[in-house]
Amino acid sequence: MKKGDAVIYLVIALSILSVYLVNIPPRGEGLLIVEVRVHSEVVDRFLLTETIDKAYQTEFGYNRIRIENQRVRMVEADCRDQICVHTKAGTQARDAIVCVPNRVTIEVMGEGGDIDAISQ
Amino acid sequence: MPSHNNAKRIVRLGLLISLAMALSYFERFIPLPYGIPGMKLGLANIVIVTCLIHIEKKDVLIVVVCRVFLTAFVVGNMMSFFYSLTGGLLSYFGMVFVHHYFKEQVSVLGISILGSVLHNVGQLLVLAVVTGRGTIALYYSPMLMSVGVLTGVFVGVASMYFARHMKVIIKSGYLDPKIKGD
Repeated sequence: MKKGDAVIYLVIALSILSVYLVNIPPRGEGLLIVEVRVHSEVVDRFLLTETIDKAYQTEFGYNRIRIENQRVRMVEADCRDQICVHTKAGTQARDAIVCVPNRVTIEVMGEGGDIDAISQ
Repeated sequence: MPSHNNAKRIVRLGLLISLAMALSYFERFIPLPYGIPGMKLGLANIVIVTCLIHIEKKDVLIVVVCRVFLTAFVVGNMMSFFYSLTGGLLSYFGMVFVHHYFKEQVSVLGISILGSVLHNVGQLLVLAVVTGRGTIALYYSPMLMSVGVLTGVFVGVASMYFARHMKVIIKSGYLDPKIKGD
């Protein structure tokens, strides 16, 4: 390994570590909120403890989400890649499910919007 | 004979672009375990990394851009086009920068790992813009960047083998990398 390689690996390792640390969910037993957005506009907010099955028909496509047993999943989508449907269920703060083609995002966040404080 | 050299250059570019396209197409059939938007193997990077080290850099940019455009036309859509273009260009400029300024200090492996990680970072940027949620890109970034390191190792090793085989083709006289365009 050459010297420049070591620098590259170090920079990459440090950036992975720093984003990882930023992403650690906050402690606390607060309520978890599920926020559904279409094209970055909030369309719905639910509690993760609710039982919900809701479909969204938007200009970009069709998506259906389900919340049960404190887990939120994308159960149906008419997008091509189906990545959102295969994403693991959201159970804790800072879990997210994204359907890029349909511009739909599902985020689990702690009460009080600590996530927004970071992003803005 | 400028026209003769130009023809060689076009042949070389055609070969490399089609190789990169074939690899991008082929990697769609390899299933990936986790559903993360933008996660890819980046096999086309094998061609890009090899070219960057063995062919002049100006030609590599042509390969990168043509590969992205043509793949999007043949099998992709608008979204995959923007994903590949941003990832491809960011990765290209990162690798060119390191290769140009620190040529003696970095190995093929270092360059290809950097390229793969930057490719994924570029995709995360598009994800952030498309969803309008930078935080979501941030959630995915540790995973995607780590995956980038692994694919970077694979791409780096593969390009060493590729370069070795390409030397045989170069020796045959069709693909002399010393011949510049025009």
